[in-house]
Amino acid sequence: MASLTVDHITKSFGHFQAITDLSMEVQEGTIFGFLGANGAGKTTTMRMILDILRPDRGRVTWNGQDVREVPRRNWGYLPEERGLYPKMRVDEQLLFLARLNGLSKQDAEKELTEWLDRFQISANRKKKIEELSKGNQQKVQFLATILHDPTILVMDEPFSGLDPVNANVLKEAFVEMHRRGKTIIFSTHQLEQAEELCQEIVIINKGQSVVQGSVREVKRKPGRQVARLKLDNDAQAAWLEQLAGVQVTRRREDYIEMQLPAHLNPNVIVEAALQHGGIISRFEIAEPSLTDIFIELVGMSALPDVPSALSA
Amino acid sequence: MATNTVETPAKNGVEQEQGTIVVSADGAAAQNNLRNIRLILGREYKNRVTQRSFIITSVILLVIVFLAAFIPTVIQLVSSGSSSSGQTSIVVVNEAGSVAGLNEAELTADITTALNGTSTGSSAPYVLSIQPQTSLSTLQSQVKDGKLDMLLVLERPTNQNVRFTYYTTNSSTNDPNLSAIQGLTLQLTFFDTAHRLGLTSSQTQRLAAPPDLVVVQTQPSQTTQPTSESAAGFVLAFAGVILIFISIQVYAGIVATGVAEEKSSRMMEILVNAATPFQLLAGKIVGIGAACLTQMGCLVVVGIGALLLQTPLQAALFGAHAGSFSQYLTGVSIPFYLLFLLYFLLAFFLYATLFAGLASLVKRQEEIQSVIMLPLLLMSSGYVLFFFVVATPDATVTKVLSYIPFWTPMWMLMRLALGTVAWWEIVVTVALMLLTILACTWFAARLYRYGVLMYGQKPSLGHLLKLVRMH
Repeated sequence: MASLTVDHITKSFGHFQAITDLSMEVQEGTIFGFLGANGAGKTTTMRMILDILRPDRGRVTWNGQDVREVPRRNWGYLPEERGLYPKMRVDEQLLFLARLNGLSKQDAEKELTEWLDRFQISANRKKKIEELSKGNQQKVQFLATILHDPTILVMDEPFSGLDPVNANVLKEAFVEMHRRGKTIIFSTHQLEQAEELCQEIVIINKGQSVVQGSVREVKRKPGRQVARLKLDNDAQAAWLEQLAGVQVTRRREDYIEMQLPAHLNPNVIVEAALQHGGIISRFEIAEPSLTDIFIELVGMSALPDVPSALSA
Repeated sequence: MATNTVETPAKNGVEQEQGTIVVSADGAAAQNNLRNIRLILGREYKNRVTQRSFIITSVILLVIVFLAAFIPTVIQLVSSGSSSSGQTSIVVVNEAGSVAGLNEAELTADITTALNGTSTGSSAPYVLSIQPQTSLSTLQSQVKDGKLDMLLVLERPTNQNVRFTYYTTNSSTNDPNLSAIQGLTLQLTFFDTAHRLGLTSSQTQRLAAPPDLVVVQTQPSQTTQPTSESAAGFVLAFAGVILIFISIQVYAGIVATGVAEEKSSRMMEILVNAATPFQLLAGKIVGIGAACLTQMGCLVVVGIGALLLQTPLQAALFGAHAGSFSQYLTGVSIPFYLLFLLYFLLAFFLYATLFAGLASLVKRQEEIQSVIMLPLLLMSSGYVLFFFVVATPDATVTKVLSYIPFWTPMWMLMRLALGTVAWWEIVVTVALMLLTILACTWFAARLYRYGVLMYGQKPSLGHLLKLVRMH
C-alpha cells in the first residue's frame, strides 16, 4: 500500500522552532485529519509536504520517492488564505490553473464542464470571481484545487468560513474524491468535521505530534470513559463532585457529562444517584469526543481560537 | 512519469542554512519551464490588455499623442495669422531729406532690399510705402490702433546723424521686426556718415566689405551634420529620454502592482504549488512587458502617422513657408529608432525585475512606493543629471557616466542623437545592461521566492542581504 510518509522533520524560522521531529504516515486513499490549535505548525507542515518549504532535517516521501521529485500535477493544494484573481472569469481562471498544473487545454475544458455541473455553478461560468457569492467563490476555490485530477489533496482549513449548507457541499465533494481513491489530508480545528470524515488523524501542538492513529485508537488513548447522566429531580447533582475518580467535565441543559478512569465501573454513579434519591431519566456511556481528547492531551491553554502570539 | 526536478528549486525559508538546490536541466523540465512561463505570460498579457483602465488610458494617450503632433502646425498657423496677408506693412516717413546722398527712389529701393533681401512680390516679408510727412499724426494713430504694423520716421537734426523713430505695437522684448529695423538703421547711418565725411562710393564700398572670417569646426559630427538634422536630434533626444523615463516608471510600476496584487489576493498561495517562483517572475514581467509594448507600439504608429500628416497639411496651409516635419523623422536614421527600442526594452527588463522582486516583499499595495524608492531614485537621478550634460554630449564625463547600466538607456540615446557614438560603445553598454539584468533577475528571484509567502514583518536590509547571500 502506497503512502505519504513524513519522516522526523524539523523546521525552524530563525530562533523559532516551528516543527520538532514530526513524523506521520498517510495511507493512500484515506482521508487524514490534521488537527492542532492556531500556530501549532499545521500550515508549515503542509507546505513542507508540498515542497513549498524544505525541512531543515528529515524528509517527506510519497511511495518512497522524495516529494520534490513527484510531478506537481499529482498535488492539489487548497491554501488556508483563499485567493483567486478577483477580476478574472471563472472559466478562464480555472482553465489557467488546470493547464498550469499540467492538463491539456481539451482535458481542462472537459473537466471544467463536468465539475461546474456537479457543483451546480454552470450558470456562473462566465462571471468574474468578484461577482460571485461567498459560497460560490469557495466552490470555485475548491475546483481550482482538484480540477487537474491530483492524486493527493492537501487542504488547509477547508471548512473555515463556510456556512453549514456549503460545508455540506464540500463534505460531499470530499466523499466523492475519497470514492475516486484520492488521498486527502486536511487540517482543521473543527474536531467534529475530522471525526465525521477521517479514518486517521494526528493532533499536533507546538510543532510536535501529540497523538496519532485511527479515530477509534485516538479515542481510547486517554484511557478514560465518559458518562452522561440526567436526573429529573436533581439537575445539579452536586454530590457528583465528591465521588472518587469522577470528574464532571460539562453541564448541559439535558445532561451532565463526566469522565471516569477506565478501571472504574460506571455502576458506582448509578448507585450513588439512587442513594441520593435521584430519578434517573438518562444514563449512558459515551465515547470521548475529539474535543475532549484534544483538551485532555493538549491542555486548556492550547484550545482552538485561544489568541496565540505565533502564526501558523 | 517523468520526474521534474527543476520545478522545485529550493523554496527555502530564510534562515535555512543547509537546504540543497536541486539543479537539473533535463529536457522535460526545461520544456515545462517554457510551457509554464508561456501560460503565465499569456494570462498576464490578456488580463492586462482587456482591463478597462488599461484600455481607457491607452485611448486617452492615443488622442494626446495624435493632437500633440499638430501643435507645431497650430503654433505656426497662429503666429502667421497675426498679420492677415502674412506680410508686415511698414510706412517710412522721411523728414531728413537726402540720406547718404540718395534720392527718394534710391532710398526706397535701398530700404526694401535691406528689409526683404532678394525676395519680391507676395513672398517678401515686408510691404514698404513712403508717405509724406504731413500725414505723420494720422499714421501714428494707425499704428496705435493696429491698422498699421510699423512706422519708421527719419529726421535729421542740423549737421548730425539721421535720427530714426520706430513706432510699433509690439513690446520691446517680443518684437520679431526689431532686429530687421536695427540692421536697416545701422546700414543707413553707416552710408550716411560715410557720405557726410566725403568718402567716395568706392571707398565706402571698401569700408563696408565683410571681414574675411573662416570658421573651422573641429568636431566631425558638427561638420557633417546639417543643422536641420542636429535640431531634429535634439528634439528626438529629449522626446526619447522623457518617454523612457515616464514609460519605464509607469510600466515597471504596473509589474510591481501586479506582484503585490497577486500576493494580497493570496493567489500566490496556489500559484507557488503549480509553478516555480522564477517562472512566475519571468511570466509576469514578459507578459506585462508585451502588453505595455503593444500600447507603446500603438502610440508610436499613431504619433508617426500624425506627424507625417503635417507635411501635406502645412503645405496646404502655408505654401512655400511650410517647414518639413518629415525631415524630423527621416533626418535621424532608422538605426536610432531601432536602438531606442533596444534600450527601451533593456531598461524595462532592468527596472521591472527590480520592482517585481522588491514588490514581493510588501503585504499591501499601498506599501509598494516605499520599497521601490531606491531604484526609482536611481532612475530619477540619471534623469535629472541628463539636463546638466545635454549640452556636452561628447564630454568624457558624459561618456563615462553613460556606461552606468541604470542610466545607459537615457544617456546613450542622448549621445546617439546629439553626439558621436562608436559601434563598440553600443555593444559594451548593451552587454553591461544584459549582465546587470541577469544579476537583478537572480536577486529578484531570490527576494521573490522568500517574499511571496511572507506576510509578516518587513525584513530589514541586513536580513535581505543575508537572504540574498544564502547559497
